[in-house]
Amino acid sequence: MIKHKRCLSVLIAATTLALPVAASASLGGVSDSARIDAQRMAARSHSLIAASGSVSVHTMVLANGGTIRQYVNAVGAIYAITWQGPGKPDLARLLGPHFATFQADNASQRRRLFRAPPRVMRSDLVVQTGGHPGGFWGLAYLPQQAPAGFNPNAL
Amino acid sequence: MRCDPVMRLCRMLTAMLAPAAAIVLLSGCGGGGGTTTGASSTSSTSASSSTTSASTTTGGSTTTGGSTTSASTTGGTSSGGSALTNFTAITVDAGPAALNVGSGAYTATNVPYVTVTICAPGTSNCQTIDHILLDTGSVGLRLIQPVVNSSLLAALPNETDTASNPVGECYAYVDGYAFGSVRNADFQIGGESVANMPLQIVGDSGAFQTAPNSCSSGGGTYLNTVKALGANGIIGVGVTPTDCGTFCTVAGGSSAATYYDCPTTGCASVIGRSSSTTAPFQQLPNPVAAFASDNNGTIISLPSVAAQGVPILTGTLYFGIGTQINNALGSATVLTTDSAGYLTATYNSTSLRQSFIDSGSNAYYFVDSAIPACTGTGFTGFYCPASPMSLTPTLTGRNGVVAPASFTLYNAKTAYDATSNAVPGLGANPTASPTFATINNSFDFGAPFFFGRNIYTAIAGRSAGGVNGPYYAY
Repeated sequence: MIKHKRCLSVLIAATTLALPVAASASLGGVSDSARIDAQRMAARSHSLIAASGSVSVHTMVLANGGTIRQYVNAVGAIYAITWQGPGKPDLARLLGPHFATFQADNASQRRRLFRAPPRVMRSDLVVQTGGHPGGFWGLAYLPQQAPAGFNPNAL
Repeated sequence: MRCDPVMRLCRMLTAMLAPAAAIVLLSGCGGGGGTTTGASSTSSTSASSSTTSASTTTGGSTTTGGSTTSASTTGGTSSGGSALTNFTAITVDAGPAALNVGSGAYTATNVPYVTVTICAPGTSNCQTIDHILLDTGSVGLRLIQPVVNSSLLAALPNETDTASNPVGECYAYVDGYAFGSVRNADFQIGGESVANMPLQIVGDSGAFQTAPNSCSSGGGTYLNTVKALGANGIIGVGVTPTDCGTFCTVAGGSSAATYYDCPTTGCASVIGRSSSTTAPFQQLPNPVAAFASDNNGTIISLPSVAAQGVPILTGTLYFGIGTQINNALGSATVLTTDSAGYLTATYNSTSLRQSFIDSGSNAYYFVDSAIPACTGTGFTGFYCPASPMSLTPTLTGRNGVVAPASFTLYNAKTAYDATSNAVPGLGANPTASPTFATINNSFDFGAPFFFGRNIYTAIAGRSAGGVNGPYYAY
């Protein structure tokens, strides 16, 4: 996402360090990628909050006031994300390799004028979106990466 | 083979869940158009209950609401004053003819359409375009490029940025995005008009051929064809005066809308655009907000619909609130919204703070795992109660005012006639799984909620009937 040149240079630096792009900054990626995401997405602020147990939560506030949270498990992988804001976030980056699944499961035929929010329900990926222009929200998680007792309703 | 209208609905939903399977179902379903209406028989509700009698005596043509004749664009002839022209007809029908031909043919369900006229600025090079989706959930006029005739398209000037390059725009909907050029046109709807209004030509050519990654990365479908959008264009008349507001006043800013600098090499750099709510606009305005008068909001007046639905439903879109004798706020309950247009629905004792009223949604989208889900191919996601259910959600404005939002939920599989394109009480569960309650924070009151109601949408920052927008009222 090329929004600020300064961040672009960070992006280039990051990729130059041979971080695998597809896995580095997204659902299923390593926790360090949450920080990199914040840079790439020109976040206005970024905080790391230790949540209960070994779970930690990275919170980004975007330039448009939107919020993105990335939930990191005990082995440092992002197992869930949530977003909310006036526009859609860069889901291609946030979902990483899972974005293709999200798109494929919601391909154009299914829309047919039924303007229902896209979603994915698979054993290894759940995505739920909603809202309307000016107020979008959603969440995604990897059931198999989530800590025991994970409750998506608590995100 | 009999083609149930809800099969069309479920094809849509099935395709959402299982694209490959849905394609099989696409053929063999004729249009539900026809000429029988029955649409105007049930409603005699004026947009303003307080002025019903007055409007008949002054020729305001507002007393029947759903009648096509009263909703003509020319208005009635006044016996004692000026003819009212602050309205236009709404039609809920099978959709533009282009939907129902070729591969993936289908007909529309619960989509309110209006007709607009655009002209090259200051000229008589004009085109009247029907089947423009009337959407209270978004803002701005957007036309699918091939719909606009080539001589008019060539004569519509591009908006340009500080680098003198054409301006492009990406606009996100929940299910996809629109990308294309921003051009200026003289715009007319009913008796209202705007000179030199920015609009979007979706799927434009040249520098706008390819949506930038930063647009498509929001996900969903590129809504660049009549079939993908389900309409020849879309007119967003939601609660904000422009489509981006202050989010786009700095370079790199965005909301649902993102503006781009578009040299001949294509659109890449995100640019800021002034949030001016009066001409000259830089962002796409809410067309209603751009009117010289009657510019504080709208009323959508549609008749109620019998359980089996109707092929064609007609109603009236009024411009302005409390500005004419036909658009008084009257006794409607005002529910103010936040800047995102959200209200709080209360359903089964649960508060859902991200709820909204949206004429651009085809159904009620809400979560209730106690209501039987439809079974059978193509019906996944819809509700199929054994018998019609009376549901009693309420809506609470950010002002704390509460209004009932009751409706009858019908069986999506069995309740509707095959030829119906406007069907009441259609509900669907938007969650990924029936047992997945996570998204139980939102209740989307879609087009069926408008049937039998007068729904007021007031624009932020405008006083409408003595109350400042943004609000919905009914």
